[in-house]
Amino acid sequence: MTAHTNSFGEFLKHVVLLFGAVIVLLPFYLMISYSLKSPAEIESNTGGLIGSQQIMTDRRCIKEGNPPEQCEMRPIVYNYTAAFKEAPLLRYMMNGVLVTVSIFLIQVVVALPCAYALAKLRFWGRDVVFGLVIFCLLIPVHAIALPLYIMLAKAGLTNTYAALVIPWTISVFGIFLMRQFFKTVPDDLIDAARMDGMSEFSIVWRVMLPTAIPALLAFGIFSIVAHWNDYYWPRVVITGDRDLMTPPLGLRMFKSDLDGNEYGPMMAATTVIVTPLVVAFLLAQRRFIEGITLTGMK
Amino acid sequence: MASITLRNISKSFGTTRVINNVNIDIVDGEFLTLVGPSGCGKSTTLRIIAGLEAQSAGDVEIDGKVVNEIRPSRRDLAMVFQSYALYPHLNVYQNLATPLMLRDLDFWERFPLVGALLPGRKPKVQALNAVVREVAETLKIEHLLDRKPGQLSGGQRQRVALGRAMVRKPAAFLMDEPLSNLDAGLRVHMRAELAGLHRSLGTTFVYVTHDQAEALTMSTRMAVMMDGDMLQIGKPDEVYDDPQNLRVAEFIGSPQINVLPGESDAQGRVTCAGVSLVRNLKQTAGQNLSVGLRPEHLEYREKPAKDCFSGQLTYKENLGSDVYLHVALHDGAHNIIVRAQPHTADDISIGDTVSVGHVPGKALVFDSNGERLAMVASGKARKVA
Repeated sequence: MTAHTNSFGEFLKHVVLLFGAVIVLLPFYLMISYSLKSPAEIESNTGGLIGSQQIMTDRRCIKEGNPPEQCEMRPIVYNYTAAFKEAPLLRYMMNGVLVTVSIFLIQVVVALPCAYALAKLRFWGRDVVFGLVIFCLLIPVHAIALPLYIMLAKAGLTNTYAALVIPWTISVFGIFLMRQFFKTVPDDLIDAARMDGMSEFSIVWRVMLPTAIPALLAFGIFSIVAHWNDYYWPRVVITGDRDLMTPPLGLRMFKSDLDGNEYGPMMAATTVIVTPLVVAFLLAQRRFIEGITLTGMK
Repeated sequence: MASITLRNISKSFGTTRVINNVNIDIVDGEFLTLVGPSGCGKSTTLRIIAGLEAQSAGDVEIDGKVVNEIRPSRRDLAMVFQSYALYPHLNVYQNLATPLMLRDLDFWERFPLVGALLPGRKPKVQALNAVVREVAETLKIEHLLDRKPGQLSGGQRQRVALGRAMVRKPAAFLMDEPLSNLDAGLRVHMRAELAGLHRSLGTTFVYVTHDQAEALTMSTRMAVMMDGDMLQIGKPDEVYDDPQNLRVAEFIGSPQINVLPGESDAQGRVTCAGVSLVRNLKQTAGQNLSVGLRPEHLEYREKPAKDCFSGQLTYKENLGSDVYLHVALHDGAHNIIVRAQPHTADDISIGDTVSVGHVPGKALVFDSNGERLAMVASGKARKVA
């Protein structure tokens, strides 16, 4: 009897999970599928996942006056070359890497000492400071976007990398997450380091940082995903200079095309932009979950 | 090698006072144990010596110099922690080398990548490598040098923690309950080994434990602390045989000392549970006395006599070499524990009425505040002798 109800319960659980998986994965399926098919197949919604991959003619190429035989190619090749040709996708990706990596590194440099102080040092007003950190977690970015923009504009920093990086360098979420993790590090370890002659800063970098790798990876994924995918802030501070655009901004290049059926190249670009994140997540998956559940220690 | 002196040390956390005016002179080269029940302030005292905790009042002196303002690492002390506190991300070799690296290499020589290129670094690293190997050999952990602490057993971690303290050849070792995370057998083994290590190094050891057996077996002198007070300092057998305070007498010794209420008359003659002691008090102290009798100073008697306690046997605790008889006295309020030889204990069974005599001249008498009272042989006893 119990076995029966159990298996029914399992079945139900899996139905719900499958349903959820479909909702999450369907857009990805569509994205990959569109990035492989020809415009005609996309329009008529035929061709399954990868389309028939028949030789097609690039209309724009003909328009530009090239001989027809040079403009014939398979849809997959067309979509992906168009993605890189129509917008400087590589440039955008480089920008994305530069911005997200600098944000993450500076966040770590700021958050680790803060978290260490909040978790392990006794000083007057510590609880108030930690209260402020919690409070800052509640402030939505959009609420302070305008003042931030005005400040950056007054400093003459709009349309620079600095504008993309500076507002995110202090991550209260990072401070909070690392502080919670540091709380689990035994005090004896820190005292032992002090006896060995380490300064408080050495303790942060030589003792706390290596023990906090799982938490740091979790934070890293949160931070990198958030800033790689961020559309809002780059849209606010990058107003003219196309060379500074990050990948999500770059996607707009396709959207504003006059002939509306350029889904193929656009989806190809999206695929290229999303891939690094998916790969990074899959590689760090286990450490990521460890970090979130904070069971990485002992 | 160093002597350590604590002068009028007090410590409060907020309004809670954890150490009251403690004074100790730790002689160069001695093994001093701070012993007491948990929460008595002994670990805090050790941390104050180490400099990890600041005292609220008083001075810490090392070799005659006041070190109150000196950072822990500059006091030239090494500490072994109860949890061992090894760096989990470094292997055993690196764990042992870390204190030396921090002491002998300068900032740039320790810096990753850049450091390796500096010309002065290589001879220093070779020197510390030799020290690490030597210590590893002394502790028999050479084969573990490549392992991470997570891959070691409790006893092995303990050795590495000791090694990390030894590499610097510190002026004194501070140990905070280093054996309490080990299993019983290994703990007894490590006691002997630590005592041996102390003998061969000749360095001052300050050792904190709540285990009175560790204090009795290892130390040159032991200091008994309770509720932040230093109650008695002395050689282990002095503290055991001649406790100055009832709480010390109760804490040191296993099984615990038997304590019975007693009273004295005008001549200083003490009686407890109907039995008179052979010796008299030096000064009369009135009622409300406590008489302490250690289990080995009591003996099972086959026949009841005037100088015997009588009671009912409730439990026989057989330890193989000795048997401890738990006896409920006939006054109904007190239990005493009596040591007996296994062959004598064989004859009695639980529920029997037994008589218990005491070895004359061994009873310890305490006044109503728990302070020890001096005793002298009574005139009558002297005549008999």
